[in-house]
Amino acid sequence: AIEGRHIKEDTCVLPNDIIFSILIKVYTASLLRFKCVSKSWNAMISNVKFAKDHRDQSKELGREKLLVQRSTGAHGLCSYDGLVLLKKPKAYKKFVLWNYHLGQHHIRVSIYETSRIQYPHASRVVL
Amino acid sequence: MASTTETKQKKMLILKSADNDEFEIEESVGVQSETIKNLVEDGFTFVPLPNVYTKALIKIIDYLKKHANKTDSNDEEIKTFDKDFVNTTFDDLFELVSAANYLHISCLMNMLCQTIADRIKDKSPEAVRKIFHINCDYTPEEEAKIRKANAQAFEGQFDESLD
Repeated sequence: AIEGRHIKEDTCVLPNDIIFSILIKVYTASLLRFKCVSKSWNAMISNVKFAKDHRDQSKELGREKLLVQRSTGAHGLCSYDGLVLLKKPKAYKKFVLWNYHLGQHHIRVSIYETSRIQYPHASRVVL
Repeated sequence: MASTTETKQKKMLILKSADNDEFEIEESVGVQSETIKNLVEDGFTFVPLPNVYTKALIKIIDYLKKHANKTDSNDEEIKTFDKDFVNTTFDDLFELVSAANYLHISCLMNMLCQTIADRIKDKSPEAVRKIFHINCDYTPEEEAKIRKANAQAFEGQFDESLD
């Protein structure tokens, strides 16, 4: 084994730029879990620049397909660039816009009758 | 990559590790590292590498030699070499990724980061902390809050092993 002679006890062995290069290659589900590794990891993963680079990396690796948990009962209508539009079957005009990179969602109310809306890219959402 | 070794005698470089060991390599092998390439272009033939220790440097020189001789026919051989190359401990991988980052060898950097990412993806946060030698700086309350906000990501069993 290579001796870690400059590895100090109880301190991260790698600088942030290398951690960044590693974490952008990790799947989103694992990243959300790694937010509780430390404050600095959380700050990095939650950063907008990280989200963008992670998205670009995921595209490069062909990880566009998503898994939306069935238990939420929501239908994935369409997705684009890490944004997913979801709708509960019984909700009339309410939609949920979910950014799965950031793990954030917003509720939007449509002013249109929902049955008439056409959804592009619907095939890209895997339920 | 432009070849600068067309002359009969191959141009050589000397790399000096952080622990003062010297290694002679062909210039065409060394310039796969952007850091070394820039120094060569400035006329240097002696390259001190204060951030790269001997054991990591030996492995990296092996890698550069192997990849300098890439042809259509030895694709499988290089794949096997790469697979063996990354089959090591996390601490070794961290030494190598630090060296690859300093030397700006992008294909090696990419391979090492992908290997580390693949090997940590199923680990628990506790295992990740130990592997990266990170102290948890959250209070139990803060950590509970983050777990709650990302509850879905904590469903199931995670790998607690450190290798």
